[in-house]
Parts: sequence; structure tokens; C-alpha cells
Amino acid sequence: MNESRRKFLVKLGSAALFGVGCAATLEQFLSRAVLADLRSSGAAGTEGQAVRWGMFVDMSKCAEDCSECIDACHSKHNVPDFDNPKDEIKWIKKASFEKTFPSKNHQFTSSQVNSKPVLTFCNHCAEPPCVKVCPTKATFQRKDGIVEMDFHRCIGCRFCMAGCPYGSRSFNWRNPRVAIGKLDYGYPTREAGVVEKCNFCSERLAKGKQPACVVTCPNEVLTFGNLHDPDSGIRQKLKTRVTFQRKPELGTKPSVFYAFEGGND
Amino acid sequence: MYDAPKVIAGLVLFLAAATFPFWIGLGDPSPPPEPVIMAGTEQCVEPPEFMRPNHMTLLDEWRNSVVRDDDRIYVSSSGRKFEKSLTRTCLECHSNKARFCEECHKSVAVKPYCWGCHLVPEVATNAGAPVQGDAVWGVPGLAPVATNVGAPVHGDAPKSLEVASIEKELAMKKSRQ
Repeated sequence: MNESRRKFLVKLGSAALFGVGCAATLEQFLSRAVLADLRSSGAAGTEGQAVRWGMFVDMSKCAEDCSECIDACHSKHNVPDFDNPKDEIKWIKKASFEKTFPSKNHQFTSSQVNSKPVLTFCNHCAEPPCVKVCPTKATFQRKDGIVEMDFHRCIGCRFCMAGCPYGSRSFNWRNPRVAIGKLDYGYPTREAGVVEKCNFCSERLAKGKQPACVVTCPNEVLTFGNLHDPDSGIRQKLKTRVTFQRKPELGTKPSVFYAFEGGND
Repeated sequence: MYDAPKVIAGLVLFLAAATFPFWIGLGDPSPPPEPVIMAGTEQCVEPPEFMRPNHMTLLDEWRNSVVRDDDRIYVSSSGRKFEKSLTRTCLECHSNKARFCEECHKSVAVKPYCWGCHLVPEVATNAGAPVQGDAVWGVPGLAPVATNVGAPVHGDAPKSLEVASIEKELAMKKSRQ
């Protein structure tokens, strides 16, 4: 074989160029396939859907010593009460303003706002990180934006709890049935080893009822409705009040909105 | 063969032990399960010939479609409508779980884990008890029929203003899907 050094180098170069080109094309194709897969997993937001359920929380009306919404929710959904922070299961929880809105809190925050615990639920994010990390698709996003749990599929890996930036999820370390005061036969319990959280009362919505917390609140703190309907009650509230989402900088697009009012202290 | 009597005796003993599960039941078959339906002359959601081999598949489909697709009404092969619910529809007639479900499940040694979460309504005291405030906010007209077989799925009870708005939202949702 008497090929010149020059010819050999030209061939080698073209082959390398061809290879790099192929790799780039393949990468483009693959990343699109991965994106498409993510979309089909239901974790691509609720844009374009007719309904996206949301909640407006008027903290200026919320009474500090009242827990009627929490009691109603927890008794309706058979949420156990272990009376022990380690085993605690919460669908609705009262948490400090500082922890709920870390970036809104500053050294001069109104003491009335700062001292009053904030009602926290699952935010039913339009871009829910919990849905993206769930390995069994037990947590999924419904077409109406509700981030729902299929307890049948939950394997208790708690990736979703690591993924949720709001701490909205609880894990059943123990058999929950032993800690439920009065069972409600309208909703199942959970088993040990399953994660649970607020479901926006999807079982009540199916019957045309508002969530239990909304109907029990004596002070009309909570407004529930369709964020995609410009005439809905919740949209009217959002038009007239200055509202905040929790940690919006994370891009999760929460569906729960809060309004506050300072005190006269 | 060395020690033939010992070896043969050992083999016989081994064979007897190994085939123990087969010959122990000979001549004394355990009685076949006799599930008892407590209530009703009503027909099941599907004919018994279908339900006997397929009830587990049907229940699996029900739970997936209810939880994942929010599709809660089952239309049977005869065109009747039922709420897809183990505890509210199935147990309505098959109300005695111990003598219906478990009768066969024990016999074939299966342990479905339905009851780890789903509650058997035999001790029901406040099943579906209304939340305080339901009377004002609830939508009686939209409630799917829970248990009464063959009744219409939507009624037309009067609706309040708030109710109408929720209903509109639900209708929009249905029409877009």
C-alpha cells in the first residue's frame, strides 16, 4: 500500500468530521425524545387546559386560634394524629410566615403578619417537581391541574418529599389506622409506607362539592375555583388583591395564592 | 448394594415425605367455598359468569380509571350506570365481606390488599357524613348516584349561585376533554 501521508490525513479528518456530525444530530434527537417523554408523563404544566383549580387564601381574615379547616380536612380524609412531630401527617398545616415566605420576610415585617401562622397546603404546582421525580408515576398531574396521588402505586421511596420545596407531603412511618380518632367511611385510609398530601378534595369535586376546608371556614378565608376562567370567584379575588405564591422563584408555578394585610401595631 | 435395607427404607421415607402434600388430602377434599350474598335480588354490575373469573380485573380497571382519569361512572354491558366503588357499589350487595370475599380468597390462598386502606362499611356510622356547610355550597344535582342501581346520574335539584359557577367549570372541563 503506497498511499501518501497527505491523503491518509484527509480521509482521517473527514471521517472524524462525519462522526462528530452524527453525534450532534443524535444528541438533538435524543433530547427531544426525552422532552417528549417528560411531557407525556403529565409534568408539563396546565397551559391550554380549560380548568386549573386554584386556591386563594386571605390571611387577613384567618383567625389565629381557629383550626376548623384543618379538623374538617383531616377527619374527612382519615388523616392520623400521632401527637408526635416525627410521625406527624398533615394535609393542611399552620407554619410561621418566616418559614412559609422566606424571601418575603425581612427585619421590619409587620409583627402582625410575622407572628400569625400561615395556612399551608399542597400548592398543586403547574410544574410539579414531585411528579417529575416519582419513579412509579404514583404522583401525577390531572388535566385540571390537581397534583393527585395514586396511593395504590406509591412504593414509599419518598423522592417526592425530597422534590417538594414546600414540605407539603407526609410519610406514614406507622400504621395510620391506630391514630385515627373517628374513621370516615367515605374515604379510605392509607397503609404504612405510603406518602400522602392534600388532594384539593378531588373526591368532592367529582360530586360538584367545594373542598372541605373551603366550606368549613367560618371566616371566608379560602376561595377555590378555576384559574383559567376569567369570571371565576378566585380570579376576581386575584384581580382586586395583591397576592403572593410561595417561593415563585423556583418556577414551580403554585396554584395557591396568599394575600396579607399589615396590622396597626 | 451395601446396606440395602437401610437405603430402601430411607428412600421410602423420603418419597412419603416429599409427596405428603399430594396424598394427605386424598379422600378428604376440603369443602368447596360457598360465598354468601347477603342482600339483594338485584343483579350484579355484570353477570356472575363474567364476574367470577374477572372481578379482579374489573376492580383494577375501576381503580385506575377513578384515580387517574377521574372517570367514576361504569356503564355495564346492559347499559346501566354504576358508581365505580368497591365499598359503595360492590359491598352494597356483597355486604358480608367475611362470608363473600374471604370465603373464596381463603380457599385459594390469595390475600388482596384492598382492605389495608379501604374500609369495610359494616361498622359505618358516619359514611359520607356531610361537612358542615355542605348544605349551602354542595351541588346535589351533580352528585353521581352512589348506590341506587339504574337511577339517573344527574338530577336537577335547584342550585345556588356558587354552585352554578362550579358546575359551569366542571362542564367546561368535560367539554374540553
